[in-house]
Amino acid sequence: MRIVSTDHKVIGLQYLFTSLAFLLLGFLLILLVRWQLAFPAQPLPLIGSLLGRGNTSGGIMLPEFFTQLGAMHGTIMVFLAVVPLAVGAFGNYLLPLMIGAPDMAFPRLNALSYWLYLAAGLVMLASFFLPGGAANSGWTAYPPLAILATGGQTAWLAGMFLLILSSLAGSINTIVTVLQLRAPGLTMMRLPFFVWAQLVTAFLLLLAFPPLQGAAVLQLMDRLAGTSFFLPSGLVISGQPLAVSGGGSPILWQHLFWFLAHPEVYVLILPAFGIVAEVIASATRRPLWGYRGMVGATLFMGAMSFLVWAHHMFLTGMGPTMSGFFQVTTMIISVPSVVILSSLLLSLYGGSIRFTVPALFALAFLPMFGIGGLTGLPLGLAASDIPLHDTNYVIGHFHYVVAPGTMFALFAGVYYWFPKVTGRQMHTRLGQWHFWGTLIAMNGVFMPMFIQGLAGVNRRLYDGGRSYAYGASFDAAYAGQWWSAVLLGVVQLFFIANLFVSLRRGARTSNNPWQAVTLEWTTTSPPPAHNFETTPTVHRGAYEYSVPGATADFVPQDQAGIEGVPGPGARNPPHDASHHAVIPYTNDRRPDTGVSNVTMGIWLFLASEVMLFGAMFSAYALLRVSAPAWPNGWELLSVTRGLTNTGLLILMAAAIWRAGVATSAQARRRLWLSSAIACLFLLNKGLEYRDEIALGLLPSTSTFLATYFTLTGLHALHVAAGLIANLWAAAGIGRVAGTLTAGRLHALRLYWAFVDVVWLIILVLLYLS
Amino acid sequence: MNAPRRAVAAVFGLLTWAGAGATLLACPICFRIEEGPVSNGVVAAVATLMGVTVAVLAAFGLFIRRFVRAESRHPATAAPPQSPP
Repeated sequence: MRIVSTDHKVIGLQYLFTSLAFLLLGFLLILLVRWQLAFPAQPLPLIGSLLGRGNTSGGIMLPEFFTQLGAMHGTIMVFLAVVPLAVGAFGNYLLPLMIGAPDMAFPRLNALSYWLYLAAGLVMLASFFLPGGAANSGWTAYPPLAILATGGQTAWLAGMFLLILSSLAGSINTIVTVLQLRAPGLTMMRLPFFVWAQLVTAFLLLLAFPPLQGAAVLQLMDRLAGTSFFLPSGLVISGQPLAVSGGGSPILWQHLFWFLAHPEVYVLILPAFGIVAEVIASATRRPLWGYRGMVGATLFMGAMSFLVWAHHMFLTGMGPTMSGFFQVTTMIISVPSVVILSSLLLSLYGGSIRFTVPALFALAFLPMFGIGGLTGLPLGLAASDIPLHDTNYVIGHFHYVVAPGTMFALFAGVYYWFPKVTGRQMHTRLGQWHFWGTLIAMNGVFMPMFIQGLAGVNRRLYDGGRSYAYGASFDAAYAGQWWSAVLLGVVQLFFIANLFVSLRRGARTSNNPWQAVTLEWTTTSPPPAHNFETTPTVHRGAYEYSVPGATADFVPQDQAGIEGVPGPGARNPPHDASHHAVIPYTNDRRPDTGVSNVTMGIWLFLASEVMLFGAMFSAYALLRVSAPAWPNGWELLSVTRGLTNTGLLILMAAAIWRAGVATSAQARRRLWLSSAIACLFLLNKGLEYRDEIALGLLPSTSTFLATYFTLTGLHALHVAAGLIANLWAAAGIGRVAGTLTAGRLHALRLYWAFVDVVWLIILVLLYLS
Repeated sequence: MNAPRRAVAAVFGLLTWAGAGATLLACPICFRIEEGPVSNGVVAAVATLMGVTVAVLAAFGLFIRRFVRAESRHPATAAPPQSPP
């Protein structure tokens, strides 16, 4: 297997093994935390003296290290382990196979996505070795603490920035692949539910991550440039007034962070639903109950997930209007979750269930996720959320959703598709031990959290809350959780051993050992380089089990008739051999979507950019409305320079717009012209900054100037990126195929139009108001 | 829409309206406290971000509607276009 590859299967496996490594690391970190909570002031066994003087004293964990472990456990598990496993590994490997495509729509972008993810993880991990250690402000990175934290927080932000870039690249790729590369006959309502789940997840990542990217930029500015986006006036630290301009708001971070982090919950759970749906249908030999309803609920859930984020902010004093609104939207979004869970439960009814290892995990997912979901309802209502906020109850709720919830689904997926990836089976008995041990241990770790939380024990307490009367009686519970965590670790050894031993020594299986119907089971195991010998043609839905009249209890999607199931390789008439050998570039529109791959890709990219700048304008709105006084832009800034830059951008957009309809030579000239104008814009902007700094107008001077420098700086970065893209496109004219140039010009036209629109808004908000 | 469905829709709408009222579900900490600059700022920020989000979702919705219509017009065997390396 090549390390640097653009094959979606290789990239999927890279995601799989990297995210499993992060999963193990995240687990080991929290194992240390559980020891401290169970036996505070006792030295860590075996490794206490190996963790460094800054982290332990006499083998006893120091509080600073305890907070680092908690923050990094959350970050690693959510951002580096579970989501990459669910989306990067399963999505990458399976999506093209399930839709009958030879690869992802943009294979090189796919590879870039993985390497950015790996880099993000390494940057975050390297922060443990920085002075002061890793990030220690919680996985939520709330300011003001995060602004004042040690250098590890900067590494956390840098890692998060890379991770978001990776995620955006991956989500664009997923959406374009599913919508554009479906095999002939594979209409949307014939897609496996897994594909729907991945598609909606990709939309969530595409639109929810950019606001966090914006927030990360603002926090970096606060940490590195001395701005006060998140620092209020009059902040006193250890009796000393903080030497910053103030005027910012810690609520702003929560607003932008939770805009990502709540949809992130659905990013965690939707792929799990998708996996469980596939496993349950295959295990029960029955179609999914209410497939259309499940698809509708998934779409509704995806859209609604953007409208509930502020239920995490009831304690901020955001006001009764906002509070009331978000309570209603939160209650509404519980409906589609129940629809999906109910459909999965009803799918079991009347089925002849095969209790295979993946089926065990999938079946256990249902009640475990049910507990997680139901315990979340009180947290969506302010009256009950306020006493439960920040307690162990919240931790229990969230972990039931993600650990015995999502993780069970992911384990089910590994056991279920392992034969497809390797051509071998995982060991059944080891899998059963892994399942039962994990089920018992996870409940042992997380169930007591509800009781502790209801008693009022807060999370992130170094001594587990023993210094408070209500937390003093949980010694036995904490010890039980520790031993459960140890058991959880031990049974994972069964899984690890099973995974690696079965790779080499697992029993060989047929191409379709589960007798499933979706397209990935119609090709060989492991699949060939471009997945299918001939492009499959789809004739039926994804859940045709126990079809009356069929000789077998399953009818594959590419099977034209239902009279029996012919042998492998005989069911597809050759469609068009040229389609699967390579993936040539074309600007052809797909008839049903009406757009080409590159057009869809650039529109999706621009949608994410709209969300990024939308978040920045949202920050502007909060700061301006809550400020006691806000200066007039025309009194501080040079309106002349602002208008000059407006003229330059309009000229540039006009030049690039006409390049798309010109001959090659004309197009090249217009690209050079627009590049020259972009240089002038950047020069003018640089001179403007120089004049302002000379006058003492710095980003740290006031919130207005912080906003001005950040917004215009971010926009200038977009101009610089567009300039590089211009030069790249110009250099490629005549050297690459005409269709490739046409695609690049089309993308550039749309991009520069977007950059112009953003600038006009900035002009109005900052210079003219 | 028939009468029972209209009734269900009316009840649902009424419940939603009632639920959205600050008097029923508002946060007990800030309930009846006058709106101040901080909460006004949050309202402005939420409104801005929600406006942008709804606009983007609406754009996707329009695309999906067009897509669904086109999919019903074109034969199900329409081959996908190819993509860049």
